[in-house]
Amino acid sequence: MKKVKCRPFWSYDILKTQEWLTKQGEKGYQVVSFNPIFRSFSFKKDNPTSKRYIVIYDKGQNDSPAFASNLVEYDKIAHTRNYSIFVQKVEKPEYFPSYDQLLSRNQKIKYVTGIILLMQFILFILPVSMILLSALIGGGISVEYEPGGITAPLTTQALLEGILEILFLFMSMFAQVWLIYSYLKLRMSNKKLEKLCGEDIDLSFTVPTSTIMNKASLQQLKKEKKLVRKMKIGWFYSPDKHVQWLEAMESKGYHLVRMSRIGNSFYFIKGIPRHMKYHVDYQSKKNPTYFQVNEESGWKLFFTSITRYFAISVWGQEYKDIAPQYYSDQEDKVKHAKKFMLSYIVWMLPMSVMYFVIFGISIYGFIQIQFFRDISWLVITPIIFLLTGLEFLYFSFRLIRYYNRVKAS
Amino acid sequence: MAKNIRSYMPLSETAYYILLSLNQPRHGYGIIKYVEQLTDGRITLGSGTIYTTLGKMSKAKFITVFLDRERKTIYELTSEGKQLLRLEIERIKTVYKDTLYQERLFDEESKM
Repeated sequence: MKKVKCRPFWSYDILKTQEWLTKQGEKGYQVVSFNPIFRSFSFKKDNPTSKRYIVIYDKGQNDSPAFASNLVEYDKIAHTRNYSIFVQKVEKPEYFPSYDQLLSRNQKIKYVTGIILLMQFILFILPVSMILLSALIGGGISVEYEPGGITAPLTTQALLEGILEILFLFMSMFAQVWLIYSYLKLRMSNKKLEKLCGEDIDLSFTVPTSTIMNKASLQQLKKEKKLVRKMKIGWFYSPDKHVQWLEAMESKGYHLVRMSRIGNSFYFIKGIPRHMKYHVDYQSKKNPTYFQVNEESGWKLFFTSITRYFAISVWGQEYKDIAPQYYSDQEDKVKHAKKFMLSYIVWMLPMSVMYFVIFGISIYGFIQIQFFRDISWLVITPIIFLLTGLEFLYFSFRLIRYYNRVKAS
Repeated sequence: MAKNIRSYMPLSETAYYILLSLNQPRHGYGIIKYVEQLTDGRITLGSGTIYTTLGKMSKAKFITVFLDRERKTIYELTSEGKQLLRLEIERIKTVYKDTLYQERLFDEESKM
């Protein structure tokens, strides 16, 4: 006996799908195959079992995923281009699949749908707010309506157009609901996956509980002048110089204890001078291994950006004789600096050019148009544009200098 | 696929030692420790180097990732990774053979 069941959003919550497959197995329906296009699973009536099913996403792995090739703990049930279904053979397996790939796929989908929704929201809110504003502040709205209605007799063409219009309306509504549903669903299931992958990083470490217990003790330390706070803005545009500064502070006996959440303030506690190696790392994606490997190698995390992509982290390690190397390979060091520099200047340089162009246009307008010249304080606008452009140019320049220094080292 | 593998060759010393250490599934830090032991402390891989290299290798499907009981990531070679390592071992063997041969010639020359 066969049974086919459809599960439209099965890949958006793999963990739930796995549970569902296991439950079907308990009812006596064992999955035999699945169709990713129709999002349907086929079951075969069999003896009820309590076997656990798992679904693995492994993109572009034409054969079965490498995960199971060496393992005897799992049996492959079904397999398509990117997905495979396995059944767990033993009660407590030694190894588990990693949901890394699936998580990064779902995160990408979430980001894209989120951006689309945000853009739609802005496009929607603009006219609505304009109408509302004119209704509230202005003299109200007057709607012009031409009476008459349908004058010509209803033709087939008009009827067809009408039907098409209604169809379009339904389709766009459906797309909207689909987008919102996808976004919300992914938001929920990604959180579960992040937890499973160990990616739900607790950012409370920026307040080291071993040295600073709470706000009161922080105040106390400040009062006793044991705690030194230094502010720095835009330090990550020359990370190597900043690292030197931190190391110099340590050799003077100022131990870095924490950084603020945005990363612009540094808290030091006066102690004995020590050797400390720092590294400012730029990694576009956070992965549990990242923190595991670094921490096991003795690096202590002082700061990490809240964003998952384009994240900057500050690592430090105390040493005796030989300074530890974060990148043991010179090539890696240069590549890291290059990635760091490029990912900023690709948008900073165009932005600076854009601001210079806007500056040019506005200064031209200021000179040409009498109206602007009459209100002289308006000259501030082109000056702000100029300063913003110069700022982006300066940051890009600093990053390029940083890259050149790393390359030459 | 064989053509694809050759485009990754020759591997950097770091990448080669990482693949070489994966004769059994290991953690990231396990790889660092093992390579240090294997090379008598000549190579101490930095954690950043390990992280980026492993990322690149798993993207190219030479290694695969799974979790152990403590939900820690472990790495293992895929069949393609094994293939790459075999080819690289063969290449280094030839390099070694040529080096020994040439070294002898240089030695003889200096004696004369």
